[in-house]
Amino acid sequence: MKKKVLSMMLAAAMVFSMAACGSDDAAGNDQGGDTRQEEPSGDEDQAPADEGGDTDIQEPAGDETPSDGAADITLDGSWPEETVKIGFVGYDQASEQQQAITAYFDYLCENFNMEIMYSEDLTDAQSELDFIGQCAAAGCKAVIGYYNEAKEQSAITCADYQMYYWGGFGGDEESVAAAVEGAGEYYLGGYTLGDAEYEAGRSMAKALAEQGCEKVVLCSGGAAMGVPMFVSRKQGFEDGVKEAVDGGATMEIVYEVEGWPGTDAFTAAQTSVMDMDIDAIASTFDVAMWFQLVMESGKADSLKLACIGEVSDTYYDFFNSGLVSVIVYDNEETCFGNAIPLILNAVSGTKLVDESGNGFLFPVERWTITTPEQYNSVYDLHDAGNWVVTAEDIANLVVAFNADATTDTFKDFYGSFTIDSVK
Amino acid sequence: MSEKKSTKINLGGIGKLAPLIGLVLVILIFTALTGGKLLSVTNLQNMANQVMVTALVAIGAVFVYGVGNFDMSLGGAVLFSAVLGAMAAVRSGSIFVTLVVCILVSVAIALIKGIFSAYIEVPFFIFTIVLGSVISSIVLVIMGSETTVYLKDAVREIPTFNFTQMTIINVVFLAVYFLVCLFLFNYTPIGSKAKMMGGNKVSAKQSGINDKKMHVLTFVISAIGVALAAFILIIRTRTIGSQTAGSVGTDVLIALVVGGMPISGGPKSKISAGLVGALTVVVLNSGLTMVGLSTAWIQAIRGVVFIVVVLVSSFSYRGKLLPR
Amino acid sequence: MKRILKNIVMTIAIPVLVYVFFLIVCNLFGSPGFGVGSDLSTILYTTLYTGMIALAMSYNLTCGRFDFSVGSTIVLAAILGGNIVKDNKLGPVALLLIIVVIAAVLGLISGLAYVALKIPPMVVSIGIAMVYEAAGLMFNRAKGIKMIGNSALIFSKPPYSILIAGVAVLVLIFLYNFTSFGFQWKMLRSGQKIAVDIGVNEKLNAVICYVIAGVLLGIAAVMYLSKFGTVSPEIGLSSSSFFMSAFLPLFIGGAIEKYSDKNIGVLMGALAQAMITSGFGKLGFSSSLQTVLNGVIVMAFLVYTSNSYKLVLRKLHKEKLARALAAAK
Repeated sequence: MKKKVLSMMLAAAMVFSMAACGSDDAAGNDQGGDTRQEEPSGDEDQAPADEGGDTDIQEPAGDETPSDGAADITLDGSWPEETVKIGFVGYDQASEQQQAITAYFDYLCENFNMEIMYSEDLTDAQSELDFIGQCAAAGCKAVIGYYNEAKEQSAITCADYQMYYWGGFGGDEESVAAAVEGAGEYYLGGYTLGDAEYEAGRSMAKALAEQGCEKVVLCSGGAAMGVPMFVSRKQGFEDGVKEAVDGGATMEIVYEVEGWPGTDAFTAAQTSVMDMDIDAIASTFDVAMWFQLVMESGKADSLKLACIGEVSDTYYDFFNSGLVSVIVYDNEETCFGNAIPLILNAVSGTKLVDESGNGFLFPVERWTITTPEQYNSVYDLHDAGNWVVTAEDIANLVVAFNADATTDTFKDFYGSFTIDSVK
Repeated sequence: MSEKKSTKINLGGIGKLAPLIGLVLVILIFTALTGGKLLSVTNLQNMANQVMVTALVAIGAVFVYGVGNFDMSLGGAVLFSAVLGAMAAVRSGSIFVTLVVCILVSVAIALIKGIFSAYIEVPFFIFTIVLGSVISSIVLVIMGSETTVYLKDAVREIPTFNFTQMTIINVVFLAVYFLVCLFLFNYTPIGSKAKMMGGNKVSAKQSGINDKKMHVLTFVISAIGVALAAFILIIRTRTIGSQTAGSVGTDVLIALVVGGMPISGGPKSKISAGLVGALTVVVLNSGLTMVGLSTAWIQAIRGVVFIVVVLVSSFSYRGKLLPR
Repeated sequence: MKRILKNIVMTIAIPVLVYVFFLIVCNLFGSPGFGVGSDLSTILYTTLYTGMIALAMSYNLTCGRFDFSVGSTIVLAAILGGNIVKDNKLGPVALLLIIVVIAAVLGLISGLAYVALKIPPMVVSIGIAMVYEAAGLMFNRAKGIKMIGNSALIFSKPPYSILIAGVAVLVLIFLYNFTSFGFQWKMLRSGQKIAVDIGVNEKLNAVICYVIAGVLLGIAAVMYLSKFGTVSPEIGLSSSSFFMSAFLPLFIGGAIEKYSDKNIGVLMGALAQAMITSGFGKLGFSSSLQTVLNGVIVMAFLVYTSNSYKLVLRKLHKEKLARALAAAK
């Protein structure tokens, strides 16, 4: 009897879990519906933003749009006719950067007929390639390589499945060349900040040097675990310090904290840092796990924190109080959002290519935020539901909307943003 | 009374077939939810590629788990032999040398585990958890600043395989290893001895089984699966980093359990558990991702399905005591 | 009297030896002053925090129940409880109570799932851990909990840290030594079948163990949250990193249990572990080297604890042989 009951419960559990799948799907759709309802108000918000924000690029393009007869396409999420499904190779959903990108893409999905399929948190090349395979099976047209461990192999795998691949491999030109050769027309290109991760570390060191910091603790994250991006950031930071010293500044890395929070070793290292005679802590990832300690130790006034991170709620108070003085910020709209016009052009048959007819690397600016004014300009813009690069801006770079859109206008547009261009 | 009895038999029957039923159910559900995309040619090839590493390791692990050794260091073993194999590939430029290094490294780890399990008699499960973390740290020390090994840096070019070739290699590797293991486990004394040891250590020993030798032997058989998995990883991804195979340990564990492998080993162990379980896990992952659920939902559902499948398969061996 | 003295000496021997070792080594390698100042506060925090986790695990692991959901319980309790406290602007007492109650409920769910489903604990706890991690990720849109600077965060430092941990340990010592729960637990540990046959309610006992574990993990979660002010969700069973450092305290606790009490033994183990961590940090070892060395120490302890009975056997055998030889003469 007992077992009968148990088997009933089991069956119920099975049904329940299936229902959970279904209802979640439904919930997802509901969400889509909700956001779509909000959309008009979002558009109203955007109008003033367009006036204020990115005037140079917007205006001439705006003049031309009507004359091309493309104005009848509206940004209500109905173009392109067939939904463009895009795979997103992610690394850590709990990270602020990925959350910021997700929020931006959610906004764009309301304006274009796109759907983004996010990966689970991937940690190695194999799971990356596996996910790309799943994207193909799910009917994706393109893949955004936000996380990339397999380098050009990812692009080549996408080409095997006839999907476009977006990604600059952290500015590794050799890999870009290999991707162009191996994936051909299916490689779209990607942004470069030079050697992105290395430069991020270097910018942080430079900014701290300019603020007169002399004794710095470096929090190097995954560098000790051999995670490539953190190894490069650490290297960049160390070289940045060396350059500052060569340039006459007094600056040294007095201590290095390795690994991630959550282990006893990390806690021990953190606490011992609080006893040291230092004036800055630089972290090659986020810096939030230092706030509580710094405040309790009463050093909030004498310490400066620097990190590679986001403009988000987390840092708002601390940037404005002066505790955090440097954030090296890869803006989600300019660094990652550029994937969308490239993909939309490619899937609608007007792929943007360089002179030799291939996918290309293009430079974008890295934003090093050092004043509260800069921080708040971005924060307030996002907080009001506006974006640095709006859906209209993106439409202007898509040939179906704007016949004059070219690779050069694309490059010029994304290359033009600096932290000071956000008003 | 009679009714009670028949229920029992039925449930036992379900228990034995649960893994297969689970697999079929998962396939049916997700074929429906994805509108048939799950079983498209592309995705079948995909899944054939994805199942490889988990299946190779899980099939071999049946021997180890069958004896009653709960091994949590399999992911670490794959990582270690993949890293050294990839380094050998870069330095030698030979695909043959790569395979040999993979095998040597994983057999060496197997011998260490064998010694600790058979002669030093440590609580094996905890030992392997610790061993796994130690291995991944040693990998970091070995790799130093290199962090990632790319096959394209090899002194001589290592051939690349396209998608179809890779699928063929995979299927051949898996089929051969599966059949060999099936033969060893079901038709040679190795299998029956292993099951006896898992069932009752003392009586197995008293019936004249050399348990120390058996421990080492089962680890070596499983090491071949590990080595093949590492080799496949190297030639497929051509990129081996310190995080490689990070999820293999838990994937294999989940696959074995879902495949119907009793957690304490013994007479109900079967080689097919590795394959069926790995297939179920891959279909489930693939299906959930393709339906477009968020990671949190994917993991929650995976957890529930995992518990449910285990629950059903446990009907065939439930006792009065709480299992440990 | 002599016996009591011996017990005390044996109980504190391992931490004292570890302390002396690092004191000497740190002095030799030019970083004097081990165990004072910030070292001391780190050691205290780590001892209590790791001690809570190790104690939580000790009630289940020694009965052959390995609980994979330990880390995910800490993370989920901190995220859920922290957000309630933050949103309602509650104080420290509420923080402690809410998180501990949530963790206890999570423990209860784990325990009930185990006894109801009758699946090996190792397996059921993996499933539970996946669900808890997923719940932590779903809540608050993957943002976890950030309550930096919140005045409720007082539990990472003395006197409060010592107070809550002290009360917890006293309650445990009482439960373990003076209640039927404790006696039954010991019976179940040494002989599951016999205990059940003479009428011990194993299911009830197991569920109580899980709830106790939940409460202790809740305290650990409060300490962690108080220390850092922020907890991020974990996914893909990565929450298992939370219990990696609890193994050494567990084994040390097991080894010196007979001289005092299981709970005190585990705490002494946690103290030793905390000093090892701090010492390695002070000597400037890289994190991978630390992991390797820690692993080797745990393995050495494993080898010792699982083979020490052989030494005893050999000693007994020798004595017996000597007696036999004497008798033969």
